[in-house]
Amino acid sequence: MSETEVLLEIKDLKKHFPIHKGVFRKVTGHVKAVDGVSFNLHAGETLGLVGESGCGKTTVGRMIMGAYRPTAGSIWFQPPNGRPRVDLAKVESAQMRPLRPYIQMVFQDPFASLNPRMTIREILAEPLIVNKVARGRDLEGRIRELVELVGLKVTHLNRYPHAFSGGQRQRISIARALALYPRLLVADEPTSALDVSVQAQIVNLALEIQDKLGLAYLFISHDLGLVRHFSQHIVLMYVGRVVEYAHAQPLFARPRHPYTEALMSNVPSTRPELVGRKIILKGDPADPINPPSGCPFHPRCLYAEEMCSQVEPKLEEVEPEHLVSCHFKDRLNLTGCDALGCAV
Amino acid sequence: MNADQAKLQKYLNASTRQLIWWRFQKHALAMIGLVAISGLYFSAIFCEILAPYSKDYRHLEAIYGPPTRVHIFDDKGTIRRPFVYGRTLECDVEDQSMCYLEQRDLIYPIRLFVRGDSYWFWGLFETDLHLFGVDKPGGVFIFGTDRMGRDLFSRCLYGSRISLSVGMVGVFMSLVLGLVLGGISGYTGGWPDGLIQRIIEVIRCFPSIPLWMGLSAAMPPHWPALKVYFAITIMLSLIGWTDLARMVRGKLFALREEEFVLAARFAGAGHARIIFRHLLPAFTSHIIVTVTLAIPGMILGETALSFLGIGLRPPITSLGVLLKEAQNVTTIALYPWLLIPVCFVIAIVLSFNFVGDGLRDAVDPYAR
Amino acid sequence: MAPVLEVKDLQVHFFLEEGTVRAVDGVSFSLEPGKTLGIVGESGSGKSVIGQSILRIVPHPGRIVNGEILLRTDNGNGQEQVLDLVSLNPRSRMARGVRGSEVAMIFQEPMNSFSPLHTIGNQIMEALRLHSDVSKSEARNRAIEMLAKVGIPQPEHRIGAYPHQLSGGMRQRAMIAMALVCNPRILVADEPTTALDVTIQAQILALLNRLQEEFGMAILFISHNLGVIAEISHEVLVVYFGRVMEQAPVDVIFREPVHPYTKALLKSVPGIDTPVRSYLATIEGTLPDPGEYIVGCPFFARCDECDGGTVCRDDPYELTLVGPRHYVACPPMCINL
Repeated sequence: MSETEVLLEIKDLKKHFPIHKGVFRKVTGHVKAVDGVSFNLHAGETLGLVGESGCGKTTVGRMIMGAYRPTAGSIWFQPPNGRPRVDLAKVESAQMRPLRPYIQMVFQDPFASLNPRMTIREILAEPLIVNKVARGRDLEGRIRELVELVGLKVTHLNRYPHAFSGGQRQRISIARALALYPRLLVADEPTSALDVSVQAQIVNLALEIQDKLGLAYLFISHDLGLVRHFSQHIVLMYVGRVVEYAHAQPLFARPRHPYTEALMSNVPSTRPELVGRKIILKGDPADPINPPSGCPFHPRCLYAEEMCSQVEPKLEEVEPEHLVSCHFKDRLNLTGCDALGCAV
Repeated sequence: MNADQAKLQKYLNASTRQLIWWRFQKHALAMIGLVAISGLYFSAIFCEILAPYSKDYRHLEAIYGPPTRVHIFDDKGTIRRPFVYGRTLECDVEDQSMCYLEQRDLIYPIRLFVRGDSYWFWGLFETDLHLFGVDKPGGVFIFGTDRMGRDLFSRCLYGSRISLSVGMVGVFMSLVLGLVLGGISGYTGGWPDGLIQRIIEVIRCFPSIPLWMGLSAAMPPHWPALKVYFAITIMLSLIGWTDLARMVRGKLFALREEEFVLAARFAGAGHARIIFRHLLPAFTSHIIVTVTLAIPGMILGETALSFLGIGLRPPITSLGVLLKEAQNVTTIALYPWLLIPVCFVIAIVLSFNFVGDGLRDAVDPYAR
Repeated sequence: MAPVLEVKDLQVHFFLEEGTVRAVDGVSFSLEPGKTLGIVGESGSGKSVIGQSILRIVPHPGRIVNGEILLRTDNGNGQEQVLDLVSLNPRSRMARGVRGSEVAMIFQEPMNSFSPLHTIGNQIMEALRLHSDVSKSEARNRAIEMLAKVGIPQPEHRIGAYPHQLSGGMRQRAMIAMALVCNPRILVADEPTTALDVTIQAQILALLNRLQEEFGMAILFISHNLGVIAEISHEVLVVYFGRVMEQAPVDVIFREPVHPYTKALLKSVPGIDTPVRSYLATIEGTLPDPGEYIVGCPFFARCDECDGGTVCRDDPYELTLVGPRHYVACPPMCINL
């Protein structure tokens, strides 16, 4: 398995949710939650999917998991052992079943993602039982392995979720996700609900597991600092579209999209005296029901010109492996995180 | 700190059910209600033993008798075991009223475990053991007697057995209907949901008493008592299931989107596993609460129907049937003890309500 | 300048069945007019309870058991007086007179602070009319003025909007407007930007800075986000397990932290110097048991700075002065190391 093998190829993914109004529930419009997203995730690597609320990143994650059926586009997934690629966007639920072990998810809310009426042992056993992977003594052995992998104790297996803190519950969620030896872990804001010191522990755990097991992560987050620490590639989304897609280091050194620049400058820093100017954007993020014409960012963009409200920019390369959707990508000289000295 | 550590360990290892029970115990009223319900059901199960007389035995010498007084001190002031005096009936010709006078020379001590009227204990064996009683010709009528000389206390016990069981059976039927229909509604959504909800709305539009009266009038009068009993419970449950169905639907809608359900689905769990392992246990406690609070409604419904004469009829004795005897204002004015079955109804309804309230507060251990 | 608020040795205990939790256990600080004090801590540190105590809205079964909260206010005749908020009955008229007009609060979830049944205009006007004698039309004008000041576009129209019709950022602005409409001396902000996007958060922080310059109120800003605290505060209080670990002006505390807890917090967040994909420094162990009473520094069990010295655990907790307005919860002998 080469490092550059493409595990997940997302092409032009779209998800439009219909809005029903009136007595007869006529469709009056669509929430364009995801409106043309493309990126590749390589085996064993971390891709950070970043954006603010309403940008559609969670919806992308859910579509990969099969919770929503995409309106358009494909999600090509490479199963192990040389089997052919499968388009998860078009697969039936019966075909999805054998693929489930390879793609697992860790959720944001550590309190809602564990069934409060099941013991930890039962929670961890569930994926193994459902997929008929292990029984009896093998099952118990595997459960103990998982518990120790995430840094908890075997004595914890008999307890219920209410006995654990947020960080510990997140570890249990991770253990559950790892039960079936997945190739890809979709982590939807896994540390947002945790304290800073606990966050660090979970990040370390995730790094350790990735080194040990060779997993790929799709790390969905709004926390730029954490994403920068963790990811090899970064995809930045705004109102359902990709605005920038690059390797982490060049992205932070020199972003090419005005939104990226603004986002980086807005991250609060513990050394504000080192940070350059803050770009305070006007107004609220655009409405996915009625996105602005042309480039969706143009009403808030400092560099917008007339063309931006009329023509929608395409996601194109500005440098090798650095894609941007901006009309002036070659022209603009934007300040990156390193120059801004942004430290969280 | 060993006691504290032990307590912490207990808390950490406790299941949700244990947590609920601990929280329930903190409610004084709920615990009282629980004890009362246990007592009521105990007396309903063992009513033949507890009642000194059978429910239909007529003591013709004691018609409309007031409750017999139980004494401990006799005329001379000495303590004896509890006893009752004999009574004679005298008719006051001028007032046209009947009067019972105590005959102080006839003393009948109350004995325990006497032999009295024989009965079949739950159809298993025949016996004639009663918890307490007095030798004939004395009579111990704790709640007095009715117009045919039947002991009201015994009839209340038998009556509460019927009333309580009608409540349970009726609610069980509602539960089945409510779970199935509410479950379909909540889990699948779409047009089955719409259809079931419209049916629920139509049923709820009917005013219940006229509906019951109509259904009751449609019942053939020659039906045996047991058939009538089941017909009444079915009637009551046909209207009662709607509340439960709605609750189940609402809970399922909420739970379907919960992340742990999603996690189970992503792990590959099928519909059956999700329903039985994740969804149902999550609101079993709520079902128990709703059911507990629905039972008093059933009991009151049956009592009302029987009181109006369109529900259960003699020889089946329920609390409502007993109350039918007390419909007349003159009767109540002269023989007020005939209203005592009301206290039983109140006790039953209040106890279930207390327990239901306590359960409802205890059930959400995460709603801090 | 005389501080507008002085908190002395505040202790707030929660009397639970499982035992007594000392949520706030001896916190002292002062607020200067026109300046912002940032209180930073993780969950379980008691930081929110401090804010609630000032407004006397500590939820049952919590109670202020000790300490003073001295508010410098005027008694209506233009004369200054100092009011001890702890001595007030939280339900009394006086307490209600202070709440909203002298001390106002904004919360994390604006949706929970607004009644969904009334327009934001109504609620802002109600806040104003409760504390001052203005007519309805005057109140309405004031409300429109405030909405404009907090940056809500088209305030004459938005005044009739319901909370659910506004976006998260707009709702937070409306809540700030409602809090400031009576011109309070102190604004207590309990995690006001935690639920907001990064770009909206930057807007709100800039707004608060601007309003502080204009109105001159003191701000008590409570958060767990070190960066946000660094951007908005003039002085910072680091709280752990109900006690202050370090207190210093903002540039000092983040540039030269002294207390091990502060240092550990700063290290556990990836910064500009942290090598990418390296293991972050974590704090070993967990919080002490909530019911436990610790004589000395509560962070001792997880502290890995000084080897072996137990004097900070055994001696009663106290703050040591290590620089101008810079206090640390380590005994003097450890600091010179």
